[in-house]
Amino acid sequence: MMMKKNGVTNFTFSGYASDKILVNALVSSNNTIRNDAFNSLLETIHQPIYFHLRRILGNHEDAADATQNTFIKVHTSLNTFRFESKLSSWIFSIATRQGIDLIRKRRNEEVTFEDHITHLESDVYFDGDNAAVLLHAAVLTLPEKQRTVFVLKYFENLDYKSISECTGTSIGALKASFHLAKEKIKPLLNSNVI
Amino acid sequence: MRENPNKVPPNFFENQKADILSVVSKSHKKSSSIIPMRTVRIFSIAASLALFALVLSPWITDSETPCISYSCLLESIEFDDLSESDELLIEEWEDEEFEEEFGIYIF
Repeated sequence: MMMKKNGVTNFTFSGYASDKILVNALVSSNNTIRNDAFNSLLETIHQPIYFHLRRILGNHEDAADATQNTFIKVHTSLNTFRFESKLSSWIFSIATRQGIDLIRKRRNEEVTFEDHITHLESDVYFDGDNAAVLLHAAVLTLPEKQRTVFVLKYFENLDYKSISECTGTSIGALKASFHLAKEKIKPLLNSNVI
Repeated sequence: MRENPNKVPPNFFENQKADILSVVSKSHKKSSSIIPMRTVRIFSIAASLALFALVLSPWITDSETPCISYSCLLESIEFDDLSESDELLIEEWEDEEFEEEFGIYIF
């Protein structure tokens, strides 16, 4: 597997010289060509998409569901891809929308910062120290847009231009969201909950 | 570089990859099982020809006059299928005066 990440959603798919060649293979009527292409796509971007969703959603089950839905959506929507952005950016944008949809579904469930800490501490698939627990729990208290921007900027190290491509939001609005997110997170990190 | 505290169950990525590839493969089979475009084209050409023949059918008669006139259409009506009131109405239509008034229909 060859994977290259340059601080943006810029991945190189092994065996395919360009996005166009890969997309042509992904929509091929030849089973072998299509499956090889999808295999290469998953080898490269499956884990980054999962961990992106995991940070947004905060638990393995939701992230696993959203990841699966993302790749099925990619498969069914490839005919709408217009090469206006990198294929990987387009897939990240689909994943982000899947994540936001799931957060909105959970919006009615009132979960506090302390609840998130308790959940993370008891999560067998979370292996972070107290600082990591505080940070991830604090992120999960953010509204969906601020959370998405914070995850993409802080954890994924994306620049604002790439985040703008993923979220369809202006760079100015993204900067404002990131600033607000930081302001909300700071006091929670300094709390003595743990 | 920040360490990722998020872990996954053993073989999670391998299993999910297999699931996704299975779904992708199945959904493509489904779409390929739909009637091929070639068959659709043949059926649409056949339907167009049938429609064309139906439109031309009034002209395909032994006589020179195509059966699109009022009197010709009237002759083709099966009287057995008509109700009594319909028959009376048709009798009225056959009146000479009526035909003169609506002479535009007579060839």
